[in-house]
Amino acid sequence: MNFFLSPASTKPLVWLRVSLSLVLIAQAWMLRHSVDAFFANDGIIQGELAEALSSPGLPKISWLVHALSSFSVSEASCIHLTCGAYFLGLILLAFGVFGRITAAFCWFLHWTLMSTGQTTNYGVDLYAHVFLFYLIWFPSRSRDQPSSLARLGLRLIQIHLCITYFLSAYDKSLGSQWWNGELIWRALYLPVYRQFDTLWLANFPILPQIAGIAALALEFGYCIFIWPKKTRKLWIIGIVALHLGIAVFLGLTLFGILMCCLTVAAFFPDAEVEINDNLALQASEL
Amino acid sequence: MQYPLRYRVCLGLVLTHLFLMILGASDIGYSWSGPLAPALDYYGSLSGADTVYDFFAPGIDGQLRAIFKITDHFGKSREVNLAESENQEADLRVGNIIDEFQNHEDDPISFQRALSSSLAGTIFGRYPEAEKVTVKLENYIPVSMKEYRSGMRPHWDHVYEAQFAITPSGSK
Repeated sequence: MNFFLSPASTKPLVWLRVSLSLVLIAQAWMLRHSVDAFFANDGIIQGELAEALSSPGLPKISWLVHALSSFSVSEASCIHLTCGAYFLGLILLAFGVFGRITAAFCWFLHWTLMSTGQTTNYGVDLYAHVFLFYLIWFPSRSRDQPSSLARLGLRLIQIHLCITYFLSAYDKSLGSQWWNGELIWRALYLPVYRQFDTLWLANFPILPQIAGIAALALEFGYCIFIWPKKTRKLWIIGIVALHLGIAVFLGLTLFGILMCCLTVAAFFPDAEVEINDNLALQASEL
Repeated sequence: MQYPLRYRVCLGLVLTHLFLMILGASDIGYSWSGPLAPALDYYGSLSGADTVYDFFAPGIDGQLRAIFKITDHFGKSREVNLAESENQEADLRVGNIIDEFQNHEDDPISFQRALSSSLAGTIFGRYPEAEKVTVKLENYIPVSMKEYRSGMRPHWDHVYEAQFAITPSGSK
């Protein structure tokens, strides 16, 4: 039970809160000119089709439009109001203002935007949604004292990451493309991801094959080798390199940065040391 | 060390959440839970516990793209883009929308018609001079490293085309 509940510093959760909100602020800024296209009834996915493609019962901007229709508030105003409130909420979250209330506010608006533009979501949105949800329940301000709740939050994000990397690696390993390097080769030249001319790699198939197997090894090994202090730094470096590679070579910049931030937050190398120091300090004060 | 009851309750909730998260992430879902299934589905959605992390798995088969050609009342044609953005973040999302063309196997024809008319409607809205919009869908056919070395090249393959025009009454 100590593994889950012995008091811990909030430092990893502070890092999670700040880095996640900064990534989402960057994302919101990059999408600022596209909100009508993605969320409006006459956007890219229009009217009834948008309704048919979305899950029923989840919060959507159309709820706000309906609620404010009697006040002659337009759909465009509702979209900009929601996005503006979300952006402001992220700034407050980054600075730790109003703590978990702000996290809940951002989580709900993020969920609303995801549900409204359901067909546009990808990895960044999925991970952000999960970790915003976690920030509601656990202390993440730097002035919060070490506590059992902080330890529980830290363990939750650590175990969550271990499970996602393991299952992701398992799904990948079912096909042959990760084992023979074809996936790396294809991903690098697929138009949607292409950043550099990498077609020459076809003459050196061993290179993409090594990269593919290394990625599988890193993801499969994450749930084991991220825990011992001896291998933790090595695995953090490997995972950060993997995601920076995704950011640079596939152009998935925000996804790559977010995944680096999550691992660094969850397995911050000095966190355990600092916790022990804090506890020793508290003991000496007693 | 003894912990207060509230922390032990919190631990129980966290472990339950992780259990649901494993079921969601491994695509098992919650339908086995009978009458609880709708509530668990909703919880999975609000917490993200139902997220499946199968990025780039098990492999890559290709990529869809949509090409839009508008024709004005002088008969002059040109190609336009659905993505108006200047960054990949927005382009990725437009790509996800285009990918929807291949995600509905139960009634693909009707769905393709509905989606292409929605996309054409967007283009008509953006380009008021357009009298006709042609939506073309192409699939990028990748080749293996071995095929590439033997001279084959990846290419775009035509898979779908639909035309939408404004009728004299103004409807599309």
